[in-house]
Amino acid sequence: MGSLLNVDYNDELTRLRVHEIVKYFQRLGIPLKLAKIPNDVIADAFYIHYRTPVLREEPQEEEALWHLFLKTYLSTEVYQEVSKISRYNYSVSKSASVKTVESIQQSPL
Amino acid sequence: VDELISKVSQVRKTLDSHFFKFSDEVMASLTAVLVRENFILIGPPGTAKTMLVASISKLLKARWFYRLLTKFTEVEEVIGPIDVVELLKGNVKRIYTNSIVEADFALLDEIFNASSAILNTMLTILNERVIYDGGQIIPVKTWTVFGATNRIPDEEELQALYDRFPLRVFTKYAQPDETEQLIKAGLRLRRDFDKLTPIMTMDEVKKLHEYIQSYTYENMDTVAKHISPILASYLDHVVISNRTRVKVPLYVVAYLMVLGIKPRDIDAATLRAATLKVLKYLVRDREDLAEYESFLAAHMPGGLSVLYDMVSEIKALISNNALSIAKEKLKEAYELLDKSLADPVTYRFFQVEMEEIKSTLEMLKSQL
Repeated sequence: MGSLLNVDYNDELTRLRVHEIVKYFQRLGIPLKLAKIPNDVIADAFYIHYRTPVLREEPQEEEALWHLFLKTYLSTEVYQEVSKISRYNYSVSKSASVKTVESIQQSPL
Repeated sequence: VDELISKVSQVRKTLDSHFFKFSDEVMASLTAVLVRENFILIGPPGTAKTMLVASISKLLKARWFYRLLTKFTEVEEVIGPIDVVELLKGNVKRIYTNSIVEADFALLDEIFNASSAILNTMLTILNERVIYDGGQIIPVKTWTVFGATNRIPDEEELQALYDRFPLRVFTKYAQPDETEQLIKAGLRLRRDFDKLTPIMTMDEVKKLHEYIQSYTYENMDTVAKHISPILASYLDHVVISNRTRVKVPLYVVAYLMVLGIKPRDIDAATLRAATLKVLKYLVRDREDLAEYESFLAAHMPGGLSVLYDMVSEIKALISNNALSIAKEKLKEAYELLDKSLADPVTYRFFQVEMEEIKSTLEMLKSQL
């Protein structure tokens, strides 16, 4: 289960977006460790940029770290700047989500 | 050309007014006719597949050939019997009158049930519009071959035949709550069928076909530029052969003309919108069709893809009990819907989708 209240993670549309981001990774030649990055995380990485994110108040234990990461990222100036152009913009949100997922992948956590 | 486009658009409107919820079937079949492509209707019996081809034939003043194929159907039933009188004289000749060879349109019902002899004959008809009859090569006049089937073949040997029908539409029964409208439309069709008079001739269809080809070749760069990105994204989800991909521009231009759009009004927006619609007819099975629906929702022009996204968001908010945010989003969605309804291009192409969004929003509103 992802960290956003305003995302239906079982929705076909969400599944399609995730699929397109995974394909986009492949096209860019960036290796994506799907074992480390679940689909819900990719969906979150996209929707925090595409929609106005509504974070769950109490994350599940296994998602606490990801939740904290999101909370921190959402409060940064970088996010504020990016979200101005990424809101309801599919290609910008897709690129921003690739950057977000990449940064999680590269983290030692 | 404008007159021909008006006529084909009139054919579409006439068919739309006589069939219940058949706009995809009508659009795709007329597109197939204008491009001279083979077209298959996949769905259960009793979904007006035969009636559609019969009505198109009437409206286009076309001769049509119909056969229900079974494993016992003989080749003679499709391409005509051997002429016995000639045979007695020692000549092997066939009587092609009233066979597929002489027809403008052919509807082959339950095509995948046919025997291998018929299937092999069909392959050359579908590919080359000829039959190899003994030592002779007989040209087949059939302009468009319509296939109808209840199932998509799993058998390896039937794949080649299925691939020869690049344009496909899946028919289905009407919903129980649509029964009244279905009955009325069905009765109107039964009453009016005999009165249907030709709107266009096959010669005019052929002229428009030639025009579509020359328009596409002349505007190759522009057409390819606008169609390719959408097609490329779609290929992430659905497999489409190179052969079919090359023909997509022709389908798109033909689709626009069936819709009544004149060449001078074709622009980037109409080309993209038509591409999105045509992709629906290139699916292989119902799984691909579900994939297409999501793809369309994510890639529709204007505010429509955002609207679909908002609907999904509102549903998530409701299920997570975040009702006040859901109400705000619903208000935003209605504002965006109003804007989309005011956009003529969006409305012309995506009227059905907009109606769907509207009714979903109404449902969500009542839930809230």
